[in-house]
Amino acid sequence: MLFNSTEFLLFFPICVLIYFVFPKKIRNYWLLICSYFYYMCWNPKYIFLLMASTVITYASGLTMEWVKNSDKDEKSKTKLKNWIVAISFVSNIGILFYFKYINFAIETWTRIMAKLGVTITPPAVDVILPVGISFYIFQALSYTMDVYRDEIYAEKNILRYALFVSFFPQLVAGPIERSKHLLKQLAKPGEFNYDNVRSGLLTMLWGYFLKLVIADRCAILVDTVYNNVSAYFGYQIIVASILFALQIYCDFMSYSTIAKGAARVLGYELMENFDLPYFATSIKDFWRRWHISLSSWLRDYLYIPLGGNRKGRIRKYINIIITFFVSGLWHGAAFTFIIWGLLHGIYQIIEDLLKPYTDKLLAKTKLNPKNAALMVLKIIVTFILVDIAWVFFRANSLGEAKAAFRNAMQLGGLPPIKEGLFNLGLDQRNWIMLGLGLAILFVSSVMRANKVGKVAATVINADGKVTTADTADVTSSVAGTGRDTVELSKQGALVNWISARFFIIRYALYWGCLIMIIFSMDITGQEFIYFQF
Amino acid sequence: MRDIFFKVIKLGVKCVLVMLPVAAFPLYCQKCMLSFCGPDYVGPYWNKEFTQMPHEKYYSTLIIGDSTANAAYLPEVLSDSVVNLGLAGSSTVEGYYTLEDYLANNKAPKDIFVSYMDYHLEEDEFTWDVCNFVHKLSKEQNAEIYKMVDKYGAAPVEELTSPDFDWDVLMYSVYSPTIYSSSVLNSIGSGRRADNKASYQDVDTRLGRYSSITNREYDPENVMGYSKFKVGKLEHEYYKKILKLCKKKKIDVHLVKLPLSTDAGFIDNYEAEVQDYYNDLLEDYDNADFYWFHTTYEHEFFCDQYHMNNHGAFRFSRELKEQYPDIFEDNQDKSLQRMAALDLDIAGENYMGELTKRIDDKPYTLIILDGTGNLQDLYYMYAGVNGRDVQWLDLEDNEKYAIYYVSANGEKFSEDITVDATGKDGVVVGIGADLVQLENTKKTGISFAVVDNITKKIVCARQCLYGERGFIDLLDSTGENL
Repeated sequence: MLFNSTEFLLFFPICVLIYFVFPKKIRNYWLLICSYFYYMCWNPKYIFLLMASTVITYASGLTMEWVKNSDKDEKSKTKLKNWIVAISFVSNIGILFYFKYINFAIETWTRIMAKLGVTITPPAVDVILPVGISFYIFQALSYTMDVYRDEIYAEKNILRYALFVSFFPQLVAGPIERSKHLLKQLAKPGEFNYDNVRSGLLTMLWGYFLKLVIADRCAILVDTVYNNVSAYFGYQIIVASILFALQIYCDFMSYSTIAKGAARVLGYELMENFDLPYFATSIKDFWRRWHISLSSWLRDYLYIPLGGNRKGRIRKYINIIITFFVSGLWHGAAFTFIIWGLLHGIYQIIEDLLKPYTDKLLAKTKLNPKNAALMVLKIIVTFILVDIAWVFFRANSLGEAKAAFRNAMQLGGLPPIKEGLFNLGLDQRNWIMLGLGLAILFVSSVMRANKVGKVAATVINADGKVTTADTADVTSSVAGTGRDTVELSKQGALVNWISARFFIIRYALYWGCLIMIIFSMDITGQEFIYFQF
Repeated sequence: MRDIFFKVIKLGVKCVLVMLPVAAFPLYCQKCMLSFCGPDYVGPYWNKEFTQMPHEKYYSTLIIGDSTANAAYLPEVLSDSVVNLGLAGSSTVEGYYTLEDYLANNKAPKDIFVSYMDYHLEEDEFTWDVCNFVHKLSKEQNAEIYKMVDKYGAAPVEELTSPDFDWDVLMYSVYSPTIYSSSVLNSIGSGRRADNKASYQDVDTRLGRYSSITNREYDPENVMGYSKFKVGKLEHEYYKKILKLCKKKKIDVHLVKLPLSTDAGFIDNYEAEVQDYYNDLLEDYDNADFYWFHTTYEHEFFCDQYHMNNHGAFRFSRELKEQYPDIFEDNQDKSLQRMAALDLDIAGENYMGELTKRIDDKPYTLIILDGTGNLQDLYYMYAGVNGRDVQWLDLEDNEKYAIYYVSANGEKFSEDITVDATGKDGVVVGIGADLVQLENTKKTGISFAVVDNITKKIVCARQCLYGERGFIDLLDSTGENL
């Protein structure tokens, strides 16, 4: 059941209506049933994997809690906790490895052996990649780590914990939530809140806009070119690569946005997964803005435990490479993803090595680092570097990625751009729709960057209750009410700006947006790209 | 609690308001199909509308079949109560439901003619998506199709119809944007509405004919050998359903195998297989017969390998009429509807000989302006074949040209027709509000106008060039090639 399917559009209102009709005590159980149903719609038997991961990490949490409270000495406690974490990690990563990487590993091993002159015929392993496995396993493991680090108490209610792992809005494609954030909210079932529901629904609408109007349209052209890359040259490859950058951004962000909106309707707040990544002024900055839930996971549970930047420059660079290698591998069992990850690691290392020189250059030229032209230049350079890496991400094989780069350099003998662009799968009307969609995205991004409109704030009370409010309200009331967490959501800038308009303008915009969505509904019915991860 | 209740109501109202375009879209699709659908859907849409509504006029003969049948049968030539319900791309599956729909809303005809090209009988390919797009198939009919395809189809239902049959049927039935939005988007600013309305009017006037309406001639590259005749299980079952339904409704069925072009060659046991199949099929049906037009037509009667062009359709329809004189005995009637269809046929002609054949002895008047003095040639070559005399229109002396008329059905010159010869270089022919200028084409040939005495319209105006071989080329009234 995809977010962009009619099934979901039927499932979600039913789920929400019954959720709010039920007494608070059983609302979370209902959500758990809905979440499991949602997952089983794809393939019922793989629910056991989700359950297995849930039980393993739940038990590891409880065991660690028991160890912490036991009379054992600290050394024994640490040793036992290490063992528990190791068991949790090995079993979860084991599941992930088997279902996601086993064939890749066998194939790679066979190739290596063949290079060494040894021919082996390994048995074929017939597995289907369970949808969302990388997401929920990483989410469950983050819980194990948080309990291990004493950052949270182990959850005693297994059903609540099961809901944390399987919460349907973010189950199959993130954001990879943290126990400190979501589990805490689940302690108190969501209440009907007019503003939350309204804001959640509008956020979902924006998510659908990104997916259907922009991402799926880009996909037509990108698929045309990248599925037959040897037949396209010059600007055709360049346009397809730029559109892929936009496609993957809008596709993934749309999922996160719909997830966020759906969760908000239910009274929960998910973390931000994107913060204008193509406005990044460096690769490091890009990774602070792109797939934030994964990059922060890798930072907190891999890069920092490896030593981060605390053990000298060489170790830091090795740690960066390892982290990005894992990031690439997480995305898919293919060398194209590994190269993509490594390329980003190399970018960061080069950036770090060049930093003293660029700083010196800036000082010498007395150029203001906040200079608009310089910022735009940095944004463009960063985008080009990111887009070059995306070629590996999108290409069907390393050979095709190489062909894409080679063909992109061939500029002669091509049809004029005006004609050629219409022969890549998008006709004039669809180009206009895409252009309009991108213009709206750009305006909304600029508004968000400049924090135009009232910035929505998510307030999580000490008891886990979530509400949204204007920042003015929050600042004036935080001190008095004992609210302990305030998250400013910049993402709602456009939604909030629209909400503040006169109702005729407001509805004209809603309808415009909806009409564009309607005119995009039968384009391809594409899956979300990140479902495959 | 009360506060929450009002907020829920407020939210509901806002949701409804925001979602108005979602509700408006299916409504638009339902009411304005011709404003957005592609040109290929106009014919099926007309077919759906025609079969799903009752008609005051009684049609004694229906034509059921695929595009070859739709192209070949000219209702206006056959009789005044024939309608062509052939559907491009269809097989016996759609044919059955076309008949079922028509009979559900109208009095049963006396006869139906059924013609399908071999490939539509052999392969399980039909127009399920097109029929659902125009809402031709009901929910029950779709359910029956599912069962039949599941039982008799050569491939799974998903392959022959849709990967998600029930869901898609539902989506079609509610005019879901997932199905219709591309068509609507593509129609914006494309002028489809006007084109489709004109096409629809054209299909309506031609009594259901919309395939291969052209005078283009087929240029074969090699011989097409027919060696095997096979009817798929699904098509066979629907053939039987058609026969059963007709038996129940006491309709005579005529299964007609259409003529092919001369590049077709029947080899091996093909002919015997065809005969054997139809003998078996019709064994239990006394009300049905099979007729095979073994005659092959020259290439100029086809626009491609299988489809007859206008000339082929005209020839075939006349031969069919001769073959079944009892069925088409009412062909003397010349209703407005039939004349309008004939008008279109005449207006589309680019050969003088074909044009006069269509005029035949029907209530048309030809007004001829001859500046060459060679009208006799034209008379003997073409107009004379109808056995009608060319009459001189005694208007006023004119040295440049002479004006004649021919009354195709021999009736006297209609008082409704006006001919104004006071102009310098030609005459103005009129009937009612319809006027046309015939120019004096002294150097090249003659000009003439065809006037329909029933619909009171000028059907066309032409110039006929005079060359070494007499009158040959037909041009439009301004001298442009047709």
